[in-house]
Amino acid sequence: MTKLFPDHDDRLLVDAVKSGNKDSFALLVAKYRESVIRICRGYVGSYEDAEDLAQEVFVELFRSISKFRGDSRFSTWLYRLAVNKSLNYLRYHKKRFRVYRSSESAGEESLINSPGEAESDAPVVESDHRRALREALDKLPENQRTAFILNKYEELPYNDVAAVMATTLSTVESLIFRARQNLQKYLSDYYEKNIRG
Amino acid sequence: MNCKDTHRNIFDYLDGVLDEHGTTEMESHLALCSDCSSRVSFIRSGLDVISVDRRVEPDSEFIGSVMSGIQSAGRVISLRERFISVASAAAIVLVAVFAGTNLGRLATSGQNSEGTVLYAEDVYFEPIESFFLLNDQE
Ligand SMILES: [Zn+2]
Repeated sequence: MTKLFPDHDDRLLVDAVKSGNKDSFALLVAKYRESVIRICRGYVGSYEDAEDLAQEVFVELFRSISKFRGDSRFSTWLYRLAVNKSLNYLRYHKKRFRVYRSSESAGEESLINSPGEAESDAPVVESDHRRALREALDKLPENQRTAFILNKYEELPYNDVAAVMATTLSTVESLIFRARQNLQKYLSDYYEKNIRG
Repeated sequence: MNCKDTHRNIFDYLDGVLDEHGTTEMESHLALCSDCSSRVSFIRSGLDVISVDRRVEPDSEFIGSVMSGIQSAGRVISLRERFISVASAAAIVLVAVFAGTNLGRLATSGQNSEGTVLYAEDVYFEPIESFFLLNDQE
């Protein structure tokens, strides 16, 4: 399991950014970009969208870094920002996704795999797996989904997931338990509806 | 173990958290039931997508793009837009070369060429509402 990064160096970098050192900010971006892209990808699916969203997370981070008082670890704070940004993105695009889904039966290309992404050339069966997972994740309630994504995409242990979500360990255990139950059902339903002969 | 029990235990089985007895029962059923076997295999591959998606190779422009975003009042030029900009610049160069080599002909024919302006799609940007507040209720 990936642990949240040690905080000492981050605080030095954050202090330097607060006093106007942009090179220190670039170091923070370099250190955390992969984690932030992974978290965003758990929500949006497409790699390109996740990368664009991650850039916005870092710009937002720069804008609001003066508000970081050090009450929590820096990485906790940043991951929470990535979660919020991703949820805002999904809420904003919900209508668009819904419109798209209603036209899916017409055989149009999926927004789940953005054009040009490697998967679009993959065998149909691989696209089915991807689509099944994406649809299943999309159906989860936000808090189950967040707990699952932080644990599975970023491989944060439960206590770190609890820190990012500002909740207790037992709540996270329960959220992930329910997320797994639901995903099992949704993936099974997908199999019955689309794969089983 | 019947089909219904199998369906209920797929995630535990795939995560290796079923006890020894449960695992043996599950595997005996999967050996005999092609439908459950195919269902388990489909779900396993679905979950494998997560491992694929965890592999991240940020674009070499990523940090540069963020740094220009913070210089320009939060307007992030997405990597896709950057690609469009580079492609547009290349197109402009090609058009300029073409126009240069055909200047005489264009001048004599009295035609004006109009530049085409490409508008990249606007990137969604919205200030964060507030930090994530967990709602335990669903
Ligand atoms: Zn069966």
